[in-house]
Amino acid sequence: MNSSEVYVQRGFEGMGKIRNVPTFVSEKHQMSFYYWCMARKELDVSYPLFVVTLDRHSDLLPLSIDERDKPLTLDLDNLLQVKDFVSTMLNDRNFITAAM
Amino acid sequence: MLIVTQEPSVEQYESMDGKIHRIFYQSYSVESGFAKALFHEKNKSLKRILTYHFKKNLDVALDVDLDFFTYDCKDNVCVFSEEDFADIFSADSLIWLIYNKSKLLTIAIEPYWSGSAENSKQAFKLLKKYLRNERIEFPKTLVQI
Repeated sequence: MNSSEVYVQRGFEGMGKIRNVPTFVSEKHQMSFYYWCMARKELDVSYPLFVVTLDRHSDLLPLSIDERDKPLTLDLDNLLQVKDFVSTMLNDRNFITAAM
Repeated sequence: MLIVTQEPSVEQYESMDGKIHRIFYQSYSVESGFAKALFHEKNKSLKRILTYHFKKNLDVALDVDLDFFTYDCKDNVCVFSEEDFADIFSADSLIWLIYNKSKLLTIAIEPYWSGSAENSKQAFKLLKKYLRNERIEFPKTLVQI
């Protein structure tokens, strides 16, 4: 997959109080999926996770059945597999949206 | 849940452990004042779906693609005004309902979809300001994934 610019930060202040909320900043939105999986392994974040995404597009949707060339299965504990999933199985509907 | 510009719908996927993962869409239309309306406390649709899921006591992640704070203007992509950000992050905004429950915050810069690197920096700057979080910094350290 393409390299991604990533800056990992821990702890920030919100609404006037200090909160220890890990913050991950990446260039590509699809990388967020990777960090949710990483947080599952390395941070005190339980799964299933309720994610609220603010986006103009649908970067984080898996490819449709017609678009997949392999079954949509994923071991969230295997970060190498997750990385491959992020780079090959998350949609590029961005391009469709942009072309409409 | 994805808050996107597309039609509202639900998709679901089954993971290897047999669990069903559902994706809900809360749509909005990109027009003047939409952001204020989207997170306004009177948006009962959004408030209802958030409250419903929060009752499940699941851990929450707020995930932000900075292109969310942009719109098409003429032949270009423009960043929301400071007034738009002030509306989105007003004291009674539903965004705080999400943010204050979040155990994880992910931010995607997406300079291409935000129109330019400058647009991304501007959106990031305003996001940082209105989250009232001086610690969030635009990436300085690059890690190859």
